[in-house]
Amino acid sequence: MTPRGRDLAAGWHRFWFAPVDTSTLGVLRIVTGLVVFGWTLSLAPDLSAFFGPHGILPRTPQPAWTFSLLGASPSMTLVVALYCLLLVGSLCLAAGFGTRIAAVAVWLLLMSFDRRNALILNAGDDLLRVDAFYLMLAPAGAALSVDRWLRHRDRFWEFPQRAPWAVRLIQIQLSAMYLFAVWAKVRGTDWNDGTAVSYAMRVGDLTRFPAPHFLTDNLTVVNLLTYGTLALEISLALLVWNRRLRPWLLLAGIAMHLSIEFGILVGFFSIAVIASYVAWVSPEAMTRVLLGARQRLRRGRPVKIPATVLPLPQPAERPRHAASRSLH
Amino acid sequence: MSLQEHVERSPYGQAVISGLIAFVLVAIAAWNLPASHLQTIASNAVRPIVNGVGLDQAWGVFAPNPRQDSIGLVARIRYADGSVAYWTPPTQGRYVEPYRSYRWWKWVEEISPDRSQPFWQPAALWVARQHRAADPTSVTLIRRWRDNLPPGQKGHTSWHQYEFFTLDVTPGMLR
Repeated sequence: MTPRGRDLAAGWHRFWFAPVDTSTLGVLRIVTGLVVFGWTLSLAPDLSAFFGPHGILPRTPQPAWTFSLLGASPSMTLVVALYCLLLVGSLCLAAGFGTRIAAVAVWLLLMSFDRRNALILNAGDDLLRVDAFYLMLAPAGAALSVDRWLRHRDRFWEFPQRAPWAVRLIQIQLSAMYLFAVWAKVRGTDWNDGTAVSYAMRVGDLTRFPAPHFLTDNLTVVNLLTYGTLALEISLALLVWNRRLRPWLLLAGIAMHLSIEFGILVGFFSIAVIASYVAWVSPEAMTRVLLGARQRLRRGRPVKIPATVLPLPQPAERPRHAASRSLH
Repeated sequence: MSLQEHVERSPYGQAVISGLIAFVLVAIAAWNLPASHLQTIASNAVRPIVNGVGLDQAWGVFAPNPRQDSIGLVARIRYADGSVAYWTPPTQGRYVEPYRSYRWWKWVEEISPDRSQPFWQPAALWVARQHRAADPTSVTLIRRWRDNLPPGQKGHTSWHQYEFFTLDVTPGMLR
């Protein structure tokens, strides 16, 4: 192998396989599990309408190579059973209890519900399903999990080092999401003439809180918001790989997604994206944050001293009301 | 050492995982390329696995252009006694409800166009079944829309509506 080939191979190995703390993976698992739990809960009122045999889509047109545990036209019993499994699975994933089985179940069940009725899905649902796939491949229960607590109770607050390739895939997936989002946008006219954000904020059926008129009607402001969105998204795709810029870009990304969440009905899209940002927190930083938080929590907790070494309170030191109560 | 850790540390295991990684990277690119001859070839090649594991994805949110209209769907239900009622999807609320109602809005967006004709009959029948106690005789689906004016022109046109599907309901359908 040539020296350049060796360098490339070493770089590939370092990027995907050099072991890192599993602190980031542990937090990512917890937040993803919680988001999936919320996603599942929000389906409850419409289970029969969306997935039942007498619902709005009694029979699913199955695209090639797709599958769903729900099949093309499931009974309500099966729908409810798999729904309950997804609720339990997402909680187990968040807790890290039977993590691998929970992660596989969450991926399988998310995909089953998605495939059963694709008429109700948006990009946030896609992202949750894709994240669940990557998480299933990772040693997600290695840290911050019930599994870890059961196996190594005394070393719970350690974050065993493992190859980060699955978390890397989530990072690349996020980059790809922004890159291809920008690519799709610049092929239209409204993103090019700088008016797209105004239209997006005025789609009545997608508006949660109406945007103030100066944000939608002042052309200078509208242009700045539209081009600013494109600039931020392309930065989140490419410049986020720069360690120095990353925290600032992620903060800007969180602000952008929170403002989308505030103004536009996008379901779980913003929440799923922000949850996925955890993948970008370096394992060293995440370990520092977690151990620091643990330290602070411990400082606030009363120190346990065995009862035998505590001096018994003298009668004179007792509060007066306590003494009077004992007289009655 | 767990089995996964053992695999991740062995050269053979790393080679297999590298193959998987390479496939995922190609799949993401193939799926998201603009429609072209190359995209067709690439996406067809990876489709069996991408669809099988749920890696299919579309990130064109508000792209290539955001919608320039606001839409709605109303179902008009006629009952045997001659009375009429209207049903709209459960899309009210601004706080917790949007995490439910976004799916109904997505459904409205998906079933409204003419290409979605196969979904109209089940939708109308489902609405009829929700009102079966009052003996419905027909359900008409009505598309509503208004156009948003370009920024600076403040506002939008008035609402338009169009009845695009009617289902005559028989008692047998409601069982």
